[in-house]
Amino acid sequence: MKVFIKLVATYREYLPPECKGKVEMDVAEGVTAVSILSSLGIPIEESVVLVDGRSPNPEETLYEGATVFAFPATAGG
Amino acid sequence: MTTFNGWYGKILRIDLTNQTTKIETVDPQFAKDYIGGRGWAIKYLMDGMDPAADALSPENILIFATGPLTGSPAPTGNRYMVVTKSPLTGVLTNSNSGGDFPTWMKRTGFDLFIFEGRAKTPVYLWVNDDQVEIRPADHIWGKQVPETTDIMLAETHKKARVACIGPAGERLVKAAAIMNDKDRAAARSGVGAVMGSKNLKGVVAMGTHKIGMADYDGMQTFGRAMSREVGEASKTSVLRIYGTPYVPDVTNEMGILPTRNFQTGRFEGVENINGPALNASFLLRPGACHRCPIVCNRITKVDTPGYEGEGEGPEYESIGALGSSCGVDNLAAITKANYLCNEYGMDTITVGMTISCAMEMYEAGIIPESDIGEPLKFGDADGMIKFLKKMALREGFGDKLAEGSYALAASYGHPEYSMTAKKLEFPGYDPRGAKGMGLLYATSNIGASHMAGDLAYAEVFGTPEKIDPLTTEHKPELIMRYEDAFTLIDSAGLCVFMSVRYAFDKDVMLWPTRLAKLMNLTTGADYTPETLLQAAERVYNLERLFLLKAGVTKADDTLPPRFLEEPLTEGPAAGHVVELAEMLPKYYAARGWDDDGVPTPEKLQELGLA
Ligand code: SF4
Repeated sequence: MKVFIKLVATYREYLPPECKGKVEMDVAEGVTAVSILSSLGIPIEESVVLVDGRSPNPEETLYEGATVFAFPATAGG
Repeated sequence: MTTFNGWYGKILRIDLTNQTTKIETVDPQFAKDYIGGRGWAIKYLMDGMDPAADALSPENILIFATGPLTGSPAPTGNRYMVVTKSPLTGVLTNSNSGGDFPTWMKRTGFDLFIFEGRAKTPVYLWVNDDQVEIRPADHIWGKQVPETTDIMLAETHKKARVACIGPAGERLVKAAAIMNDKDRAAARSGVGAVMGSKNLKGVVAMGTHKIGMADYDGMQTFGRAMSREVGEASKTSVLRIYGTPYVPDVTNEMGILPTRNFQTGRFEGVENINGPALNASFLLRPGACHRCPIVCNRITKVDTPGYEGEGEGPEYESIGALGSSCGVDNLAAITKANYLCNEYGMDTITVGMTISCAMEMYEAGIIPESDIGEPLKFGDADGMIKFLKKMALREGFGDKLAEGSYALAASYGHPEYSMTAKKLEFPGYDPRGAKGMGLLYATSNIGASHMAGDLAYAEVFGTPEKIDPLTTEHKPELIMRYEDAFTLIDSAGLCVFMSVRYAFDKDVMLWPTRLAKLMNLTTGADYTPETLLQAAERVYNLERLFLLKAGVTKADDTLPPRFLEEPLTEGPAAGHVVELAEMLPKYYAARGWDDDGVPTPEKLQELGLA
């Protein structure tokens, strides 16, 4: 199934520059946001991970068309 | 005589009406009980004026307040607070700024400058250690912030630092800021208009005083180690690389980026106004406030024809207010508008949100074109800039804008179009998708300011940990803690960006273990995290008493109907409003206030305020 990955700010570097932080991925049923992001090398412990803008429960599996979004947990705006 | 460490225990009182100055000393027990900075200032304000007085009258008192850690080796010990009654909101305000000026002010050997009365003609204050002069400023009146700063430095000392107002403050524009080091701002609530009403154009400071340190070696070791830790972590941090402009992508994803006066929380033009866009087009280099290892400021230059300029910014809040809230995705125009706000001396948030309020009311047919003189629609970047200038100079329709969005909307019989709490414009988080922020905006002592207790750290940014932004559970207790913790940071003299991450335990309840250590090594007081938080609570409650005496009631602890009644329509917060009626009584109870939001006699007794 297809999911979308969106990485912002410094996390764009985990994808090739031409992606500008966005990529569409074909993934197996049953994967979680955390497993996909970990496979890209993203340090999950230091990250904020969202699925379609919400904080997912860590075991929650992804669904067709979901957008996985991540950025480094940091101080404010 | 008591020896003070961290604090000098010395206050400079400036009577502008009689052009006299006076040095006062501080009681050591008071010093400790009210921490410093914002905490000391509210006590002097409460004792020195009637909270119901007109904010633009000579009765209002204007206080510049440094904290015990301002000028210390603690990382980001470079802040000061401007505390006064706000002409925009009619309640208290405390507006924070960094840069160099606060440290230079501290070097004069005074903790606070207290301005009273009103000068007959324009003046500025020059403080060089104990040499204090009130000088004429007629020849500088009318000038913008950069030129004002340069003239004052040329007339005093080139190594001094300046805080001043621009043309907006002189004209009592209620969005007027007090600018320091040209580009840093104590921005919110119209503090610049209070300075303008006193005919005080600027303050120039320098000196040779060094604060005493209760445990000099201990503080050098601990303060330096903390600075190294922060510096190391910041080298690759998003705040250094992108600054706060990394945030629009995040809030847009969460559906809480203020868009078209908070009609929605997602902006189609977000990719044109985000951190990578700024870095690619306009960023010269990151910059820092005095000795800050985080380096989050943006030094930028715009060459785009029609928007040329150079300076600092924009920060996230400015992008949200002047950009997405106005439907503008032209980053050159937003950056230019930011420069203009700095030059005229205005708060980018109130400016952007007031213009976006006018745009919505124009599109809704409530403000007729004849009043504005031309169409003013969302997305009109040049209109935004044009009316910002008119607002600063009170020209034409700008005279109405200059009163802020609440007075503007109310003058047409539709205050509901103003996105304010206690008449202060919302910052860049739609509270329907961050419920704690909704409660904060409604209850904060200064109105809708994120700086009053920014739970977005946890609800949005995952610091110290990520919490669910859409639940109301635990939010009343959390908001109370964040308000107290931010009061503490403001009173100590530190920057919140550093403090939340490094000066508290990494727990969402923000326990100030390291902050207590910094305070004790510096001042020699024997604070524990508990007594420090209790001191902050004392300050917070005294501020609340000021509000109550100024006429605030429970009915003012509220939000515009848009956030209580109109659910968001897209994004993860679709269908959500702020359940304020559910959270507010729990918040009052957590604070030890009665059902009307008044501190109970027992609470006042406990805090030593009875
Ligand atoms: S973190 Fe940013 S705003 Fe805070 S002191 Fe450092 S440079 Fe200034």
